[in-house]
Amino acid sequence: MKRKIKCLLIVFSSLLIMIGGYSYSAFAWSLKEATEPWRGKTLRMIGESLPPLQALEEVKKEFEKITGVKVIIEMYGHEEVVERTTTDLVGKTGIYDLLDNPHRELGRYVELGWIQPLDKFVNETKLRDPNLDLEKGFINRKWLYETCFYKGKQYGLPFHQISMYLWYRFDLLENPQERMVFKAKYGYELPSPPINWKELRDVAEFFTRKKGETLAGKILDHDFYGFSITGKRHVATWYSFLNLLYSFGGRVIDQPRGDTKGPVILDSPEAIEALKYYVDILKYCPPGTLTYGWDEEQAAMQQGLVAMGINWDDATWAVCDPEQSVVAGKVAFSGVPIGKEKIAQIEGWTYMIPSTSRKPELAWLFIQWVMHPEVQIAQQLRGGESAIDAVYYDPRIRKLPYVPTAYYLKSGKVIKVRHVGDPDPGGVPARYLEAINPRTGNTEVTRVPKPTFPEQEPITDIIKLHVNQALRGVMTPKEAIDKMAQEIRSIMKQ
Amino acid sequence: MEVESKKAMVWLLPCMVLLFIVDIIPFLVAIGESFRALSFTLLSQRGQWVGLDNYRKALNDPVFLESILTTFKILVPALSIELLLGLGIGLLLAQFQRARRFLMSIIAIPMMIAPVVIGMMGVLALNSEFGPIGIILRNFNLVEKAILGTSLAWIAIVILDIYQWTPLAAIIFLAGILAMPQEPFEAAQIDGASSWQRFLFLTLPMLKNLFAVVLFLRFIDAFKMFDKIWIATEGGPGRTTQTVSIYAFRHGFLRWNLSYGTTLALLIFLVSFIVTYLFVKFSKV
Repeated sequence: MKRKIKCLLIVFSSLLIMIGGYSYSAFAWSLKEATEPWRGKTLRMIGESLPPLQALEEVKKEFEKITGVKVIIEMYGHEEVVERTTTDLVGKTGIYDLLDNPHRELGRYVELGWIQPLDKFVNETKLRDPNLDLEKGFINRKWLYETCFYKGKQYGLPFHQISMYLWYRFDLLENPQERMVFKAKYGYELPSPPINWKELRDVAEFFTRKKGETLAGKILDHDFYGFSITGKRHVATWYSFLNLLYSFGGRVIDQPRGDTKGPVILDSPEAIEALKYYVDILKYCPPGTLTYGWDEEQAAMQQGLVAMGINWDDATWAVCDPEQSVVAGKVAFSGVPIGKEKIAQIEGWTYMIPSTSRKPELAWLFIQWVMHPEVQIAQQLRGGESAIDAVYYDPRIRKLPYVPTAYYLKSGKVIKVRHVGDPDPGGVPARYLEAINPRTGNTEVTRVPKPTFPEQEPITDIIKLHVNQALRGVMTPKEAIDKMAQEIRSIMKQ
Repeated sequence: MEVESKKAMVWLLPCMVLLFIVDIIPFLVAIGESFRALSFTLLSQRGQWVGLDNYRKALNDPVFLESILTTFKILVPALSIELLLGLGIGLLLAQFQRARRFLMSIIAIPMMIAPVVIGMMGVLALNSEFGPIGIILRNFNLVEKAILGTSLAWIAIVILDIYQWTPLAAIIFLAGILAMPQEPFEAAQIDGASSWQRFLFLTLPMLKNLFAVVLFLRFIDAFKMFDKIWIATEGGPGRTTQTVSIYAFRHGFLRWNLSYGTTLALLIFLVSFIVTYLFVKFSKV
């Protein structure tokens, strides 16, 4: 008995020492002290000019106040960020201490030795904030792996985790008069939101109207369109095509993860069907669709010209802001319509520390600070799209109308459900939530990775050209798909 | 004289050294690169020597040859109209005595705008849903869709170039017109020459050299035209506005095939160089 008590005392004392030690180290570590060597210095980073980074521009002031370090954030368009980053990395000019780049660049940067693995920072006590758990706490491990790891090693932390989803004008789709007319014309209830591609086509056709016609009881003073999608020869069109391709059950490359290479399987009947649908839906889109990137598509929604569109969740903030959007409060959010699969494409921009960074430790300390839930909440309230799960337990975040669906697509967790007729746009639409994923037989969303190996860049360029050619009618969908597959195989040496 | 020339060399030396560092060295490196295979996406291409392979590939690349044709399709009408319009505006401005300076500064505004901004202005103005010109074009059924999304997109690029660079031609022609000696015109008038005859047989021949200068300057610039097109269409739709510069950029900075992109850029340089050489040799300017 005495022996048992003695053992228990030893275990208890050890625990106390461990907890005490942990508390001491947690207490002892401070950002201010850790960043002291760089007080008065500058940290320069580059990223995409969108609400999440514009939000960080505001939030970083707190970091500057604590540390005395000036953080300069350079913001450019999507493709320009990659160009400028690569130019800096190739030239070893060390302009950028920290990168915020699309995760698909991971393979290229890693294979060329342009970015540093994070383990040396994670394992360095002086640089490691003991109050932050970087093992857990992310909304989806698979998503984190795809966007921040390459071949098993961590090279980044998520700037954000994003996906594309359906924006729909629920004020129109749930207008009783419109619903009545729709039912009479199509023989079924107007789906709000449409959850498959047939429904989407019907709803898009139904709401495409000319100036002078009536829409939800009002005479239109401009043409109105059922749907909008990107069509320009731009990376945006590649992303749009992937939504359709994945949902129709196709893939570009057979790969379990983004960093693994597999056979090119793009030339499938599913891919041809997906592209045919893309071409076909254009007749319900604004005439300028072939000049649309994300910004134009977003502007069409913000100006009240379209009933639905598929766009990014990190762009939604501006659509829900009454100062920037005439449809604020009228747009709700659902997943990409379901074909052979219920999908969300995995995407995210990632904080990476270049090998040429002149202040890698400071860059690490900055991103470590940004990962704190309270910082993430501040960023998300201004337009972020956090990868940290704790953020989504904050009531202010839960109230943001675009959050529940975006969070559901990534985590599978439901904050709130939206039913037809709810005045509040927030919530995962019940129809979508309950819809079966034909691939799995349950309601789970399949989260599809995209290539992150180095050859992905020319592959992307090939796809956007030929999809654009098919959209213009210069090639048939089959010709375009065959041509893409042939050129991609040539790049992959298959 | 020799002492003077030595002094001049001393003053010029820093500039020449700078030019050598920022211009000549990168150029020589680029030439070297064009004989190698270096890519940041195809990792088997690590900079190994491939001789003339990149040049052979370029000369047999149908898309490159197509991009040369596209360049000329944009360049020829743009330059022709800029010359004619520039001459007309120059002649018109020469008639104004007092308002000339003011009008010139107004007309020169597009020239001072960055080409990227011109591209953005084009995108916004021609947008078929929000752009004033785009809406007008559609309302008059001149185009069914946004022009930048159709096979007529190259015409929009031509118009943007004319908008931006006609003022340059106008200013050069105006300077030439104002510098013309008046005596031949007075003599022609006394001899009973009509104003059309005076224009045809005096003004135009006197401006001949300026025509060559404007054409030369604009050709060199327009052959490399990039920013406006990239912002407006990225060379699309399809390859409709994919000029040689866009094609070289696409290989160099989107597909990251540095060696091939460099080879294409050097071929563009070669064309510009040949034109310059021929111009200097035959123009007598």
